[in-house]
Amino acid sequence: MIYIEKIGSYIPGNRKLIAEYKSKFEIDDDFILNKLGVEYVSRKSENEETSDLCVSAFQALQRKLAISLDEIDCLVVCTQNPDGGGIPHTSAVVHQKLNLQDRCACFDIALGCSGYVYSLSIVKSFMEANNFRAGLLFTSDPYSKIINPDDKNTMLLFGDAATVTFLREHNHRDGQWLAKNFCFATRGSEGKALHNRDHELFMNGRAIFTFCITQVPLQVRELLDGAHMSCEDIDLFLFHQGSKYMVEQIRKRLGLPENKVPIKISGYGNTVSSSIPLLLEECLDDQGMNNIVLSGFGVGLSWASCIISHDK
Amino acid sequence: MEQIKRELTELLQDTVTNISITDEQDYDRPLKELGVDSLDMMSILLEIFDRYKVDILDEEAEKLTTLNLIVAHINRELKKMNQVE
Repeated sequence: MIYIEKIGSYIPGNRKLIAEYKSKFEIDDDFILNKLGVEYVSRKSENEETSDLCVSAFQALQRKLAISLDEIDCLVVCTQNPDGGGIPHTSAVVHQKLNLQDRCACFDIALGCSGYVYSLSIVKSFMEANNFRAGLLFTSDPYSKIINPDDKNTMLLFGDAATVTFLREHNHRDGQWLAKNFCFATRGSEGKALHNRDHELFMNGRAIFTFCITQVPLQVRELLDGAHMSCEDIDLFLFHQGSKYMVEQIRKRLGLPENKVPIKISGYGNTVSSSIPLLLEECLDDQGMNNIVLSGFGVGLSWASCIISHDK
Repeated sequence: MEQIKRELTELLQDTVTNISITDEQDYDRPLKELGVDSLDMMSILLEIFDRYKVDILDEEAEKLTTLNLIVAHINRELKKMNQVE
């Protein structure tokens, strides 16, 4: 079985203070703190590429866990903003920068905010199908590459970050984090609500909001029903951090208490496929946790949820 | 009309934090002055759809700048729906 072992992350040090945009975008402190929930958005430097963010996340992982580069069987990057337009695939660029061996399989997954949940399922299945023992799943989607600085809908929200999840086979299952009970969904007919329009990100905020707060609670209920679990069986619900307001509305629709739905977006913004692993990173070492719901939603429109549990 | 007005007031009080609707004049004040921002408006429009099945398009929503305008719009749409039925 393949388990989630550890997560490393990188958030670029360059931050833009949202309060500086108050007059430009006619917003106030209440909107910044209580609606967006974003005080700063992180921005990669001009010369940092998507693959560089991945390498920095890997370096953070290595500070937590000694990983032999020779043991890596596969490397996957989830991104929609790859290096150099995607040719070659960013995972191959990261492979070169980490100096991994030839026998390591590499591919990219082009998904946005639902990408982490999808990628967990894909990489876990790929590794199990091929008897791989160790894999790296990166999320790195620097939207700053395509954000129009004059667009209020996106400029104030999206931040750059990268994460890497180390997945490893274990013979002993006790206490290992197992991802299971995946649910996936797509509504391509509404894809234009969030898309790359002539190399600039366009978002119809109302369409995205309505989609998220109506569909995500339904999928989470479907997920729990399928797993024969109730909200009480779940220690934490880690939702994609679209905005503070959006996560709070999803929480209210599901009738969940505040302490089960963390919101961590203030210091860097909505980091697309990195937002869930950024939340999960700290939870993995918490021995008090047994079951966690992960739920990502956005570009596509696409949404996906799963449960990760301490296997017994 | 009065029932929709009452229900909409309750809906706003449930949806918008710190909203202040104290007298009749508030129903003609710009929503922004009552403390309703763009994200609140998205929630309000969604709640209106859930409750009345009235889908307010973006271009219509832009013109609904006061509570009385929203009430009148819902009332008009409900009448249309009843006529169809």
